[in-house]
Amino acid sequence: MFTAITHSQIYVLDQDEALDFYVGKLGMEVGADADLGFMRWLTVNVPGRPDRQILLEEPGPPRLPEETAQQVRALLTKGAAGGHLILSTENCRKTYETLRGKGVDITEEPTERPYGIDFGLRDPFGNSIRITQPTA
Amino acid sequence: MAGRQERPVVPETGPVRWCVPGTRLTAVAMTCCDGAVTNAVEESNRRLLRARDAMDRAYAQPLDVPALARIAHVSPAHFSRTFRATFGETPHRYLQRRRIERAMFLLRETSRNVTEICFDVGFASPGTFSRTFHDIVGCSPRQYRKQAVTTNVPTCFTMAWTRPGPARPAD
Repeated sequence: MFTAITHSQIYVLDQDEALDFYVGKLGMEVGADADLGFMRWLTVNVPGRPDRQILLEEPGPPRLPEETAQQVRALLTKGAAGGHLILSTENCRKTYETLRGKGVDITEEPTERPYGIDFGLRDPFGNSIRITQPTA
Repeated sequence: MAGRQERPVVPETGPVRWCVPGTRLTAVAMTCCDGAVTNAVEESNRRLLRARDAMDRAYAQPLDVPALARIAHVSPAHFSRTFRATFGETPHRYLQRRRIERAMFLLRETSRNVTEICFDVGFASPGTFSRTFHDIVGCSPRQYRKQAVTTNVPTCFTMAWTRPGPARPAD
């Protein structure tokens, strides 16, 4: 029935800040950045993997009434808006050192798991991100 | 006039707004370390979340309210009050539940004894640990270890969903 997951969405408070973080710090690449008039369609993907896009969407009118957008922003900044990304890497500890050096908010140090080694961080808005080096 | 009547009606009354729609970036603009959060409530939330993340990360260290308040850039009294208003429980209770969740993990997945686990997760005394564990989980650490089963999904979800007890206000 289905063949792939192509797009997922997370909320961000500001798309320019999101670009600074996801591209400038995490090293992802811009998949699309288009002003559609009613919205800025902004996606990022892992470099070389455009088959899986993450839409960085600002909550707000006209899609959401301002009151609802305020609630979304309040939940987002509490870490309760549901934004989760799990990314895989070839070298968890090296990635951790790189990102720590760039000043990202680390939520958990690299830790051995049954499925590999991973660490946690948070984007500037409250979304949680997990970086995993799967067991070979 | 017909055109005006067809426009959607936006109620002018309702919950107190933090800002005027459309002027969010300027009406209540505040500086923030990462510049990403511009609304006062959102900035407060994000700072408190940073302190809460610190509890999750450094649960085994002797974290106290002044240290956490520094992370959130607020006074200690303001920190405890706003943390509770934001997350529904005191920072002390949140940290206790994180430590007990870690203890439950160690009881399930390792063979370390209860006293070792007590200190591993940041409790200063076995008596406090046992009392807190029983209060939150409803049984003793030893009873829990006997009945526990292991889980195997991404750890961030296990951490969030196996954190014992409801996020209820408590002191």
